[in-house]
Amino acid sequence: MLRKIFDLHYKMLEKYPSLRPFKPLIDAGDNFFYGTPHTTKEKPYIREGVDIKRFMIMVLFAVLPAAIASVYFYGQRAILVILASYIIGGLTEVIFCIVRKEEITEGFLITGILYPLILPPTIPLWMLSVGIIFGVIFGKEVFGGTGKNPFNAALVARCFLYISFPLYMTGGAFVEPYPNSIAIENNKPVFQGLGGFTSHRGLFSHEIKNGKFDAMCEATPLAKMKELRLKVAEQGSTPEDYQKYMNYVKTSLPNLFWGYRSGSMGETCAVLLILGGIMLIAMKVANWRTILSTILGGAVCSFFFYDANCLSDKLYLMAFTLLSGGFLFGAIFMTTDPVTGPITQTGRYFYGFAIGCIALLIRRFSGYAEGIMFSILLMNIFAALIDEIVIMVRYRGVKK
Amino acid sequence: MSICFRKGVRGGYLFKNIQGTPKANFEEMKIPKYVVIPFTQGFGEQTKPLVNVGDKVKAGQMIGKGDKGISSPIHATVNGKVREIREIEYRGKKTLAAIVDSDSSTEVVTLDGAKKDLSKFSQESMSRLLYLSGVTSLGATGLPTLEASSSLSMDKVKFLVVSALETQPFAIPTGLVYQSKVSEICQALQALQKFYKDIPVYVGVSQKDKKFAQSLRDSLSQSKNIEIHVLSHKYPQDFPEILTETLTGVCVPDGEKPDSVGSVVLDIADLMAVYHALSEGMPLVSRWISLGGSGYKENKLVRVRIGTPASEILAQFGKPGVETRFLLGDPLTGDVAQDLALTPVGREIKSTSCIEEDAKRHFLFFMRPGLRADSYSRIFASSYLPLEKKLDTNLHGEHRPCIQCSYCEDICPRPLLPNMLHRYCSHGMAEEAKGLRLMGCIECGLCSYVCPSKISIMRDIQKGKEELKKEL
Repeated sequence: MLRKIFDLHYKMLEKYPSLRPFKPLIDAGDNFFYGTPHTTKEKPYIREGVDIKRFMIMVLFAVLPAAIASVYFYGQRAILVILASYIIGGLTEVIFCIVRKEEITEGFLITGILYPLILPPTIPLWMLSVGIIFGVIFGKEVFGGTGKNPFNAALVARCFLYISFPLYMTGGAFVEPYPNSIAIENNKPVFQGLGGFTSHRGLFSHEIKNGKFDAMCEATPLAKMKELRLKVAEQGSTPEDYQKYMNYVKTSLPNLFWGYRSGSMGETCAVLLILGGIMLIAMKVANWRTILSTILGGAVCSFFFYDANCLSDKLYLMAFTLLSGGFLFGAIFMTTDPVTGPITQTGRYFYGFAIGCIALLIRRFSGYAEGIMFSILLMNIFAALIDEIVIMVRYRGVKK
Repeated sequence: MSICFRKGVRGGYLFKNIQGTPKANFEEMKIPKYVVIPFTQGFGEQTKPLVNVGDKVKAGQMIGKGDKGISSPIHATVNGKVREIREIEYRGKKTLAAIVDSDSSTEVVTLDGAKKDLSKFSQESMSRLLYLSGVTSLGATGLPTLEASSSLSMDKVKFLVVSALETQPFAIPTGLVYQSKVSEICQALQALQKFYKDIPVYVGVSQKDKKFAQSLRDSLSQSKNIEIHVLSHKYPQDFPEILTETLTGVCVPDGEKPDSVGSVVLDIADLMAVYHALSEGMPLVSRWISLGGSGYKENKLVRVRIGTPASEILAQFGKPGVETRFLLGDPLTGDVAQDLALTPVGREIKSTSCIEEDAKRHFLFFMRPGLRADSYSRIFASSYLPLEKKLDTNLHGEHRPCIQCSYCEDICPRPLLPNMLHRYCSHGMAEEAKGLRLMGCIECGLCSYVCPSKISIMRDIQKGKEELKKEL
């Protein structure tokens, strides 16, 4: 049946040469449903079963729980946002491939879902579309498409929005998640009903913002923590301030873990992100070196950057830093993008560690509440340099 | 001489549960109608034909002998008449070959001077017998004798390394096959050790064959300087370079064969040939080859006359009605046979593979659980279930640009970066790649095998190496 449709399209291509430019589109669809008819032409004459499609689909499966959680916490609008990202970004990608007469590759399958998950839930759809178009064009296509991009396209898109429309990307853009007030009163943050699956908060951003529905703007835990920490650091702060600060850190830990907190759509539920990460590592799709070294870098830096009165408070702070913001999402799904990272396995340790450190540096010493996005983009630039150094050291004795 | 303290191969890949792995069943193949005997076999240069078209030859009769350069004599392997002497393509190179029509008799002319007791040979008589029987062309760089049979001269031999393991996908169960031949193997080992003036001998046995290793140890307990090591079963542990490095601890320089460090690498089947040559005067006219892959009716070991064309083997053992691809050697390094009727099984061929041609399009291939797919990653269900995996010629995906997944770096048996080498070599920058130890590649083919982007990394590396060699 499907086969017939594709065959019909191929026949049409032969009949009408003017349709020729659309061949990549039909090829992509054909290859998507049917494997390749290609056989090996050179040694070795056998090849293993994994291909890029399978590889990428596995990342999609790993991020799917987080995507479903985003619907649970922020309502059906999350589905709309993800769909919009796929459609608009996919169209951009397809148009580029048609113009350049290239094959459509699978890279966008991942960018298309990672991008909406790192946006605030109230993001207007037009803004999302502008962002993804910019991200696909200037983050990927201008460099030659999948496999050649120096920057993570999803992060480029987010960074563009973050700088262009800061009002929509910070502070007031974050709303409290669904299992709301009632749940808090009963002190049972999650597992209250079906959350966003059943209740409706409005599909468009202004509906949510106007407070028609019961959503409240809520600062992200990181922003709150920063505020409290600054109060402690002020001159003339009282021990009560410190108590308040530590109390907030301690009480928000379970919420951070289970995902009941304000933040970008997909990054809130730490437990699902960790599960996705374990799945990727077990399947050897993501490189454990990058993930672990990023987390280690974050942990070490948080230990040195955040002052506390005793060790246990420091450990609480460390857990807070690792679970809050987009740190886990970045460490598991963004740093492990193999294309934008270093080539060498040794380089990956340094790359990850530097990302963790820089993210914490930005969080602690700059005006921004969250720094993982900038730190990953920054290290994307240095990935090639890290490789250069690693290779120089490893092959130092080799005669040229 | 640098020493590397490494046990076992770096990286590597363990092939397990592959459909078509030969069992320890044996069969003697009947004498083929005709044989194609290349004048270049094993290690060495092309020999000069000693027979003309129309001459009657006997099995075991010398029909080719080198007059200059390194070579070993070539024998007729059947009784019959020389039909033609022509050029054929054998393992990717053009060489002269004699086509001999056989009369299906099985007698073989043996050499004189054989002694049942291998310890009674003098060096000269042993050298002569090894050379005349053609055994000296076996091994990675030939067997050094007093004649010009190897790139290594007798006095420069430092180690004898014996590979008693096969790690390729269609590996034979070495331990089971040679369990009953332990005494012959040990005699040949001792004779060779004495021949090379008591050099150290290292034998590498697979971890799957611990019992075999034990019986070798038991019967060699009297001899000095013979070490039996149990090694991991990861491909390509049995490559001469890797085996030498693992067993002796001496690094083989990039782009060199193990002979550069004075190591003679032999196979256990080569040892058997040595034994038969010395004890019976048997010239190298037949050998056991393994039939691997799902293209054969039954996967087993078959004794064939050297020079048996692939078409005869397939006619007798191939699965009828299945489109297959015949490879001389194992599926990762084997050469594809262009003309089956003129592709002979030469002396150095240990295994043949016949894999199914698969150009079918599988519906939603990438979404399938992958019960029978082999993979380095653990994406497929086959990694978690004890199912037989299938190897075929399908590419299993489309060509894509490199996404730097680093599977190739993980799996490379040498400390190379195949993805970087591919980048340089595919853009004609072999000079740059030289600084990344391009010449250190031993062409095991694993990088191409595991690449999810289906890039032929090994082909690019080979091209780069050729480019470098041209410049020299």
